[in-house]
Amino acid sequence: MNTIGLLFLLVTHFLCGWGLLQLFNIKMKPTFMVSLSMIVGVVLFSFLPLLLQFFYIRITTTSVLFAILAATIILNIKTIINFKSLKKPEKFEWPHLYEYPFLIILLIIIVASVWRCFYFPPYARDMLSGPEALAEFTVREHTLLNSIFSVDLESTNNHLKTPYVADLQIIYKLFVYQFGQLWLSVLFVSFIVWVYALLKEKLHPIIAGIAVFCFIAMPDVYAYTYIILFDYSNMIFYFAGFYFFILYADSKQINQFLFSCLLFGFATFIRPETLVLLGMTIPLVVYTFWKEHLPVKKIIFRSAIFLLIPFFFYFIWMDIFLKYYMPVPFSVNDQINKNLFDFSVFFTRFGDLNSKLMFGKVSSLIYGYFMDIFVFLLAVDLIIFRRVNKEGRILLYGIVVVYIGLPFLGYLIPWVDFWDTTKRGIYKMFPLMLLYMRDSPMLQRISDGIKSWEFAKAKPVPAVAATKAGKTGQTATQTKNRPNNPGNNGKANQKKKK
Amino acid sequence: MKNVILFVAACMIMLMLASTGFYGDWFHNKVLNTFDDFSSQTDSMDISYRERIRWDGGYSFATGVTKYFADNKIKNPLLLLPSDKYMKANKSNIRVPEPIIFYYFTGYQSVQYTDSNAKKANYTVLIRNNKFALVPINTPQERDGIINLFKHG
Repeated sequence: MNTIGLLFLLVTHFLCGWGLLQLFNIKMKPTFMVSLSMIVGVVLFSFLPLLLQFFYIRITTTSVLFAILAATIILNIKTIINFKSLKKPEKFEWPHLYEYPFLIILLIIIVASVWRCFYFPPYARDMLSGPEALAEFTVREHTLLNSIFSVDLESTNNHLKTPYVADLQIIYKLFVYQFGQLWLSVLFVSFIVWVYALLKEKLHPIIAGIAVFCFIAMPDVYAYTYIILFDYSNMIFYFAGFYFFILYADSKQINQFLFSCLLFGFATFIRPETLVLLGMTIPLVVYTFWKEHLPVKKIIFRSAIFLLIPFFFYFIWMDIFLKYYMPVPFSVNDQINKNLFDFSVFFTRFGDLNSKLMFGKVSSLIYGYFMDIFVFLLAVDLIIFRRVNKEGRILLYGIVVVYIGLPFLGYLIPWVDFWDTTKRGIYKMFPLMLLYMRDSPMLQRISDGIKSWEFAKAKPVPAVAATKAGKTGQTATQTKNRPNNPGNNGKANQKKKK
Repeated sequence: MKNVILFVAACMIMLMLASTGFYGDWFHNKVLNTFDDFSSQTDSMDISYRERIRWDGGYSFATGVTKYFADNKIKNPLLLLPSDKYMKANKSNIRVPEPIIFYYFTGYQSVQYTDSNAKKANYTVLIRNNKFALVPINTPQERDGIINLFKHG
């Protein structure tokens, strides 16, 4: 393994991602910025070999190296210009003592995943019969349009899938080692760090830790943290798009809306059918703008942007590269259900989704108890607390879009099968469910209970007792338990009390 | 002090989650088991070994064919791949890779009997006495017979 190559990629992933965040004027806590920069940096690299191929430039270590350096410089022009005005990073806050048991377990889980990702070659049939084969022969022949298209391809259409995985495999094969793959570990680790930090914003770290553990311990989802495929990445960017849309809904800052659109665009680049789910998200987008009292023209314009940016990513692959570059024919129309008036497929798929995948006998083997925990929390929140905040409502909308959208995709596109595509398509719900947990009134109440106990000020010592101890006159302001290091939680708690 | 109480509570929660019930089983089978294999895996870092244990029978099948082609200096072979039906009928558990995966494993072209190019195949693999035999296809009659065999198992 080429360690220097890996370090080079990690640094440039970060710089590219950071540069893009600066271009969109995204300002967040350091943990968020670093993890998000890595995530965005990975997806940005997946465009580079494709871009080289667009201009018929040979895909070699040198050309990819120059492409990476050029992307890093271009994306960081704003950062370089504003270098002097850059703020010093905030001081890193070490985790509380009680976070370590969870962090150690998490670390063990992550190390196991990264080791498997490193040790074993790509495994999934969908990879070997498509992106992995394409990447391997691109490295050998220096072009994406290589000799795999001379092979009998009747048994597969995986070579026509978007070049997201193939491109990252090419880069990691060229710079790190022949199995590639480690980009998935970069995404996985960065994502877990990010969601844990997100949960800790509103929940006590112990509650956040348990929630993230249940999320990470979904057997099927965990398997795809070391088996390369499209779905884990698609899940991350679908989630990230919703997260920034939530930020926009709260702050009304247009840069956050545009960044959300871009992230949805990346999700579409990874799995083009995401565009259908984004179409189903339009009512939420329009409603948000309407609540903002924007003029109708602006609502239409911004809603169009919401779809046009992801469509652009769909278009460059499906309507340009596949049509004008690929040596084998492909037609989207051939993939669409020919009998659109037969809605029984949708209802059958919807029924199966509930009875087999989500709440069936095998669902706990596939997804653990994460979904059951979410449903229980939601039921308690709706029945007992009877409230869900704005962030929670947007997240629930995103979950419903996947819940209805997947059977709809099964009806619309026959190759969207049940036990593969739909089973993995559900992943998109999970981080949204996880983020909902930080808005759950029930978990917030438990969290607040722990926090108020942890950072409670002592009751004044009664004068009588103090007199008995012979310490009169110093009882009124003395505190019984002062937190050693209240950190953010302590501060938040103290603020609340004011 | 409260930090310590919370630390103990967190330890107990994580211990309970990671050692009992569904999550305990998952943690043991999918996570800790990785570390059981760790020392043997670090001793076997050879790439082809890692490929062989991961890709299993289909990969061994493909590399066996490659070795034959290379040893016998056969130029531009087009291998007619045995069908799953044929393999099952001959009690073989090996899952023959599809042409694109065969090409990825070996760099050699192959076809399935259903493909129109099957008529151009000049080699195939048959099972004889429970062993694989790489057989040259010399005449159209031979080829049709083999295609028929793969079709019906």
